[in-house]
Amino acid sequence: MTATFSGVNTALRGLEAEQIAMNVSGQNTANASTPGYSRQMVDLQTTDPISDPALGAAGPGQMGTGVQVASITRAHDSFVQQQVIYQNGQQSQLQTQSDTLANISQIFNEPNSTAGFGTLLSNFFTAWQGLANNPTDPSQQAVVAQRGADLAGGLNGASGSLQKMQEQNNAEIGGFVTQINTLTGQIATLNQQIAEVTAVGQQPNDLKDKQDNLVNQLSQVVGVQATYQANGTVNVSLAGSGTLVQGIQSHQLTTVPDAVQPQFTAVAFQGQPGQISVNGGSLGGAITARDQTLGGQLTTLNTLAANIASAVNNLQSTGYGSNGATGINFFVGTSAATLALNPVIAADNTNIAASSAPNEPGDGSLATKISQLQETPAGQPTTLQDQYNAMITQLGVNGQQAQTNLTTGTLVLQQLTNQQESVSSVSLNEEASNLMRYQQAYDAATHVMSIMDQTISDMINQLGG
Amino acid sequence: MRISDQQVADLRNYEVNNAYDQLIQAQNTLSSGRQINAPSDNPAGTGTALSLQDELAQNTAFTATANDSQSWMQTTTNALNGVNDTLLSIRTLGVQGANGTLTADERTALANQVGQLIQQGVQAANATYNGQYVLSGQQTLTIPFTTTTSGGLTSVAYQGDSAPITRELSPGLVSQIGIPGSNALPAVFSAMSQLQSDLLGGDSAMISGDLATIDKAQGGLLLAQTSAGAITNRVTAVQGSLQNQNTTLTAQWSGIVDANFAQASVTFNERLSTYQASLTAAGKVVQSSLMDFLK
Repeated sequence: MTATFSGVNTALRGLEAEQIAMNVSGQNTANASTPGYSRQMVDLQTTDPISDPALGAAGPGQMGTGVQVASITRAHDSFVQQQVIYQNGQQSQLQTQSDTLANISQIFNEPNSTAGFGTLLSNFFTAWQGLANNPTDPSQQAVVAQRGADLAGGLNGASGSLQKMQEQNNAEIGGFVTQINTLTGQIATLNQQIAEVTAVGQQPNDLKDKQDNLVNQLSQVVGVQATYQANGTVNVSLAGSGTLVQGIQSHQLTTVPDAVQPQFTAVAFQGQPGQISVNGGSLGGAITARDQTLGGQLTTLNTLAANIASAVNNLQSTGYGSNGATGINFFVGTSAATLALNPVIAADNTNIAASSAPNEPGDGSLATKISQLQETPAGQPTTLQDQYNAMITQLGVNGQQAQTNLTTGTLVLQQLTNQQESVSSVSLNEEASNLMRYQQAYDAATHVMSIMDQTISDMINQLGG
Repeated sequence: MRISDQQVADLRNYEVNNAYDQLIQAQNTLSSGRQINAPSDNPAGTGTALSLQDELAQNTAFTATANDSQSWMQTTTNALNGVNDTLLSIRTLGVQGANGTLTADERTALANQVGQLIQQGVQAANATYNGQYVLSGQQTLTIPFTTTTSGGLTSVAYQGDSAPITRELSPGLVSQIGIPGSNALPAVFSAMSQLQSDLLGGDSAMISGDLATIDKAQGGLLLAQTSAGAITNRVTAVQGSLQNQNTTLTAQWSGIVDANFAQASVTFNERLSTYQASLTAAGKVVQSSLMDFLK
């Protein structure tokens, strides 16, 4: 036997459940364009049926008691989220890499037959050929000295630009570290709130969205791995370099002078000795650009400068200037930054050796040999010109690869975002359809209640009257 | 697949951006007139373009060398011709002097004329190009021929050396340019001086013998003129081939680096159409939703 008013209660539960469902749809609709919002779903369940063992034998079976909202969950694909975190880190690094290579290319301005960096090299060797034709001509000597100074100045300038770019990348590191610390602090605080909500058996949907947003932001700054715990909290670690967030505890990073290049900044955990290696994200990108892309370019440029200096000096020091001087180097310095025209030559151009033998003013054979250095390897595996060309071609190959990787990465990220949005984002059509469904169910429940009310009032009024 | 509104908006952005990016690249090619603006646009092409740039720069340098050598040889040829002219004039005087009917005074007058012609020949041989003596061998700053006159006799001494001037005319090929004055000219001047001396001496037989010496010296001079002509021809040939090479190299470089305008315009128009289509699609997609029908 069931209670008289149990049917009214059942209808009431229906009303309440549909009301909540409509509220959730309202929330979804309101957040249709909120970044990172995951649509929420009501999980409707039947309430426990009446199953009194004493009554069970007599009745027709278990009697339903209505509906309840078991939980409000968010639509979320944690597998895609993990991929997004990884891809974010890759993407920021690729962007920095691609930008850096494009900037380096601008320094050399190639291919350009009139104003490229390579013209400094070919003008220099052409000047020697001019001197070979007129070994004692003061104007040809002046041209050689000037072209030599131009070449050295060009290498100094390129080296300076590369170092400036290194410094710019280096200067960004501190800002990125501060950003990481802020984000990891927020993630730890959020972990605590999430743990509190899940502890009482509820779903921290909006907090989880916020958590995803913060982890996404963090993954753009530095490459991280996220491990999600059963209670909804997330642990974040730098790939292979230590833990940033463990539960409600965040480990702060700090900057220290780099062990190998003390003029540069490295990253370390606060209060822990030793610097850590960082990959991915804008931070990993800045460090890779500084040490590998720009550092590598500087090494190549320094080798080229040293090879130019040694090849020219080896010949120059054996020759005789128009004033009879011998044993004088043309260049001083051995790196791109320090290469310069020998001050002795700058002060007196007649010190430039064009002759292989003394007192032969018409002999320009040494100048010819120096002009041939452009195309003849002198004690080096390839010619100076080939070394320069190889450097520019390599720069192009790297730049093209970085651009391709960036384009591919953008496409991958776009597809992942697409997948994520397919699962998590709000569809207004779907919400409209749901609202109609909930509204109809709500209407029906009010009708049920009204009929119950009618029935009971009939019973009370007619039987009682 | 479930389609959310955010997804539609993001796809729209992505596609429109993509089409825009492609369009800008095509526009860049058109407006810069170059298909390689940075090495990363075409690394292999950049490598070839750089090699061509070097070859062009070298071509310019070798052209300058060839032009310079041409002028040097011009000066040398003029100098040798000048000496030859004076030698011919002196020979005519020698023929007159060999006539036994001349008086001693007349022969002295002829000897004086020969002396003046020797000075003239030396002046021609001491020609300079760009401040350098072309007939001094490698002693280009030393005047090649000096004269001394004593007792009406003019003698000529060579001050240069016998090492020829060399130039790198084409890559790796160092050729002799110019004729050292030690070649043929001392014999010419000594034959002239000998004639002058014998004119003063007045022995007709010896004067006749001098004519034979002069002829022999002229033979040597002719040889020097011929080899100067051969060098000039070689330089002219080099100039011609350098010019052809320059045209070819410039065309090759341009073919790699410069844009093909017809092709670039077609690409630009294609991409413009794609961009406009993606804009149209983006503007029209999902302007309404089920919400519009909720009453």
